[in-house]
Amino acid sequence: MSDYDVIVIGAGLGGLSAGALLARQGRKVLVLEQAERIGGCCSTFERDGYHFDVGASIVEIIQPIELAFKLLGTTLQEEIDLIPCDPIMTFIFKDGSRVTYPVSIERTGEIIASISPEDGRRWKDFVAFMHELMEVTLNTFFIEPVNTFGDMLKLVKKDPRFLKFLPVFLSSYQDMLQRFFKNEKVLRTMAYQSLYFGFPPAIVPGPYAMVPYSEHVGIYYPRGGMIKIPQAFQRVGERYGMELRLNTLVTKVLVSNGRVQGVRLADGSEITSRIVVSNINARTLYLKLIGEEHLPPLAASGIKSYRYSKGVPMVYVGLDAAPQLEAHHSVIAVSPEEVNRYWWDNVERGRLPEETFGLICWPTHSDPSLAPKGCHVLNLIPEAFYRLSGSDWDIEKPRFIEKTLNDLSKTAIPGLKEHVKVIECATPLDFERRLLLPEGAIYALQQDLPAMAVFRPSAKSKVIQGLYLSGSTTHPGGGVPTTIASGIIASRLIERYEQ
Amino acid sequence: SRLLSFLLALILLALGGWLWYSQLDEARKRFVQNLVRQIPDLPGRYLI
Repeated sequence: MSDYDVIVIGAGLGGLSAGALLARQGRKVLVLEQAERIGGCCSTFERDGYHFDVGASIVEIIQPIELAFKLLGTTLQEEIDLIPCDPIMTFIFKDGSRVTYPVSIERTGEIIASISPEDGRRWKDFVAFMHELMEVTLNTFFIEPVNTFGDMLKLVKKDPRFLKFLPVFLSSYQDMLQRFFKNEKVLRTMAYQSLYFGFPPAIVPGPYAMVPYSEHVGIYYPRGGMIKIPQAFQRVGERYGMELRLNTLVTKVLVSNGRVQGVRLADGSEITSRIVVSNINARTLYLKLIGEEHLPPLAASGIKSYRYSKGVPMVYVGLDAAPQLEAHHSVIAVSPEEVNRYWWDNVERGRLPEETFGLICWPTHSDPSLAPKGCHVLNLIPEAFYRLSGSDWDIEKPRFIEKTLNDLSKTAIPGLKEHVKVIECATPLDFERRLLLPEGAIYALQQDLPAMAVFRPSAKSKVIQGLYLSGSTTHPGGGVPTTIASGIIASRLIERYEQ
Repeated sequence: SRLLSFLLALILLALGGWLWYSQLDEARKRFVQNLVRQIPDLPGRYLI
């Protein structure tokens, strides 16, 4: 008799959604989290009255989240107070000029047409194309298991239109954008978003080019901070008996005769279970917690072949006044070629960029309760990476904070430096230490075509029985809705295969 | 003659592939390079 029916390693969104759904199935579930807080990258912490989001900054494409709560016998609206964010994003150009896109598709089309009448007309074609792509993929690719080529065929069977969009998967994000838009300034309002998937526009798979459209379907901020999402899954899961232990590090997944038997903790104690759901990086899982001796040689070479996804630093700033911004998100506008250049000249050579660019999140624009009265929170995501040539993040961190503030004070957020009351920074090295993300990899593994779908670590392990994966390390990859979708997929696979 | 036909087809395919690749812009070349470089990894990835 096992201690638990299911042990979940990691209380990120994938682990908590899987755990809650499995508890709803009537299983005895234990979730183990090494950190002192749940949510992983989707979490919130407090300093001197300011509440900062650890990583994830908004919620979009909410259909998988709605589905998860529906399967849990409740609704997203009942569990989380989502604040609509409108406008969506401000794009700040190098000359200081700005373009702000509202949620309204029509109004955005007018703004694009004022830049380029031709691209304004093409915006309508782009919207129609991406609307159908999003509809098809949300009904198939993003909520179904894709462990085998047979699973891929099932997607086509479920919605034959999936076949029509297959060529999009063989295109890049940049290809898809340039199919519709020609104007340099318009492209600068859509290029940065490729980095949401951890690669430049030339490498990110084509389907993700739906983001410049999907944001207009709605982006939301959970009142009280991003941690409200994992807290909702914890709360609902506990209603069904799910147990959660914080500050509990798993050091080994116990395997015997090709099947999981439970886990060993850092204190040497063991907890038994016939099913383990791993919500941690698959390389860490297979190579450290399980061990290569349990893997066939070709599978071992497969897991070693993945590169980690990108890691990014976060600069958390508490201000005593409102910043000169217009939207929940602002971004330093960059062209597709500039992002590509940054990737090949800076990221791959370990050289920090000369000019700061990246995402500026202003959560108090949506939820003033995150800061003391009259004060504001900024979560800055200046583009950088884990490996620095000839230096390391412990050395660079103070300089990096200073440079980020100086650069953004010039044109993006005039007067920023004069209003800083609280400042903290988490580098990719900090994320590696605190959240145990190897190389600070926020999406676990690379997210390009050769690491997607059937070529991403399978949600139902092909080498160890009773082992299932959730989170950004498995299909459909990193992001708030996709990691929750992975929790749904894992719970459905267990329902099907583990009686 | 069958062997010669096969070799000729292979040469034409390689030539066609090279011509197609050489006319791509840099971004598309990077996309193709990224795919081709990882082809040997795919069987192992499919098994995990």
